[in-house]
Amino acid sequence: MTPDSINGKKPQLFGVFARGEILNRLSLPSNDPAGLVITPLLARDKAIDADSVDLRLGTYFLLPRSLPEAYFCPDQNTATSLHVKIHVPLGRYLVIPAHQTVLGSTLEFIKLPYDASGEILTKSSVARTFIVVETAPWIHPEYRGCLTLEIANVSNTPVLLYPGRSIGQLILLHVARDYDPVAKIGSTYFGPIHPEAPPFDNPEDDLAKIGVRRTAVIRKGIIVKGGRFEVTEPGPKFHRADAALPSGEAQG
Amino acid sequence: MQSAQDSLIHEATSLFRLVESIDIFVAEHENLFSYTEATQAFFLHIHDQAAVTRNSVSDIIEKLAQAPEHAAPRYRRELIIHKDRWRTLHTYIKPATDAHTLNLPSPLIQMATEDLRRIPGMEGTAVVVLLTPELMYYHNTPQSRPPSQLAFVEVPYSQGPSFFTNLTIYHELGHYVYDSLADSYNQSTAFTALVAAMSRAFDDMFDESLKTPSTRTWAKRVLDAWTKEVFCDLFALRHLGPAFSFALIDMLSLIGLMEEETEVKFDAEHPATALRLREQLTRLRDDGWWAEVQDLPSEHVSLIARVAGKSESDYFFEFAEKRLPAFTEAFLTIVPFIHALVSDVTPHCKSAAEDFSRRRLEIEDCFLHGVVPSKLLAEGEASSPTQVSMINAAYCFYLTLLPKLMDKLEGQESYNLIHRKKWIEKLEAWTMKGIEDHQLLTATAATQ
Repeated sequence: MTPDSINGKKPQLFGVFARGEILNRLSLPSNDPAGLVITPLLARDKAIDADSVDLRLGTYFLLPRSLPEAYFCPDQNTATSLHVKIHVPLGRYLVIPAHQTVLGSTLEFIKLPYDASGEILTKSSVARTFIVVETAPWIHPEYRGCLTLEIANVSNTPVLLYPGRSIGQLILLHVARDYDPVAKIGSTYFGPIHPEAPPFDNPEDDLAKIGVRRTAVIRKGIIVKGGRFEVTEPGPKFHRADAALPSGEAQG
Repeated sequence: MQSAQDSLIHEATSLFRLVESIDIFVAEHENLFSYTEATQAFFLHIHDQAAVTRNSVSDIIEKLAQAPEHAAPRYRRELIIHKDRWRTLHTYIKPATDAHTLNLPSPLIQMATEDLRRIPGMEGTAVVVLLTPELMYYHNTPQSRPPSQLAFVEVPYSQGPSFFTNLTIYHELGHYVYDSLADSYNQSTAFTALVAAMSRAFDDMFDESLKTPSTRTWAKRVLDAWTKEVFCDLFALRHLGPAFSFALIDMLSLIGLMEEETEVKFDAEHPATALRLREQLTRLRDDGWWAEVQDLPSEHVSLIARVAGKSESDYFFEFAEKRLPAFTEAFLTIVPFIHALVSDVTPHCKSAAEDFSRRRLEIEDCFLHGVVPSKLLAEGEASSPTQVSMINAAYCFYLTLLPKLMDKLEGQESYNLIHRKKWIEKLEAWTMKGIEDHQLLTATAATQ
């Protein structure tokens, strides 16, 4: 049951965008804050359903790299260390091995209105082949770019993915917020065309911001004759001495 | 001491190993990367040639085993022909394998291919890109029987995936077009008129001054090179509009050739920058482009106007420290015929500026809001911006509005080169995505 008023204001009823509203928003110019952009919208009539828009798989992927180390640390080296970028042109396919995840992106470039969030769901026909678009499906208002997709093959069989075929569906939901014409837009994930590796700061920098003074890190190095440990990579900005600690214990 | 037969077997085995090594090298790269259709056609040619050579070399050795000792020189000659071919092909293969689609502005290459195919007689042409260690663009054709209708263009490896400087690829394709026109059995009236003008200019200016045949050959080669360069500039300009001039300025500037002291100087390969920009400006005016960009608050525009305005009397060509004014005078009489030939070859490019005039602000507005301009394509075929409009609007945006975009974003300073580089690359990516979407929408529409 909806209350009659909240803080003296009549509450608005919000829900999922229906086909009519999707079409209305698509017809607005790209500089209209309420406008929705989905381009290229191929086979437009079929792509827009009663309450969702079908999205296709793009042609660029980031595959997990086999690392020379026994671990992966999300730090400033992430962009170049964990992923291998590949291009699979339209008409070719990518094989996803069983139980593996790759990063792909939508073929469509999307700009969300200021008053809508989005959610990307696996297209049901795709999900029934045990391919799942998963883990970070939420899209914030005013996002623009091709959507990076975490595509997992949860089956026991390698599966072929063809760029250009439908992979997911975009659901749009109203967000109760006002448009601020002078607010600056976050630039981290602004306008990507290909799947992007996540940018991380080093863990010691992130934790220092919340008052953690000592952070355990694993450092690359070699043992030289006599058992002495020599570090072979540049040290972190904080707590250099901790690098030599054998324990992985973090202390606040 | 080795017999002639033993020596020949040794040579044949070395060649066999070389060819097999190249064949495997290409196959390995094909497994690792994606390539354009043209590059795949080139690789197929390499695989075919490798099979032919391996069979041929094996045949030679089998025949040799049954032939008398004195027959060896004949077989050696056959081996030499194969070796020469592979020595040449060898230089093309690494640059071609480096040019996979992650290292290329693929939508631009596709667009250039489609533009080439609009020229009568070039309907089947495809563009193979080679990544070169030189910081310069070249047109290049293998001398050893490449598959017909493959145009080879060398792109500096550092510029591979970027967009704006790679617009100068069109100039290199101009070389391919010019050479094809020259080699054609059925030369057009415009080309015949150009050749006649070159011959006339040569006879009028050089009869007395050039005495020896070798000097006359050299002089003809110089005039021919200048003619070709201006043709290539105008060919690229007709297809790309002012974006080509902007890209040329950026590229020449990057390699240090946009210096004031050399603006009016011709060398044996290239006419002076002042003349090149003057002819480009003439063409931009004639095609309606200049009116659209002349008020752009950009250094590039004022530079074109200033350099193109240099007096003809300042042009000079120097060889062995001696000024040769007859060359520049002769060349100036040829230039109108180059314009006529370019118009003849590119009638399909006539109205590109009109579309730009109508759609520029909308496209720039898309970029300003971080949106790929193909959004405008969805609004209907009749009002869709062309690829050329998107490219020119993107270049204008790059030259004038990038700080305005950065100003809308958190923590981005237009004087910070790391930030600026990031947004130039984004702008290039949005432009390429717009072109790619245009190609996809056009292909989809054609099937419906």
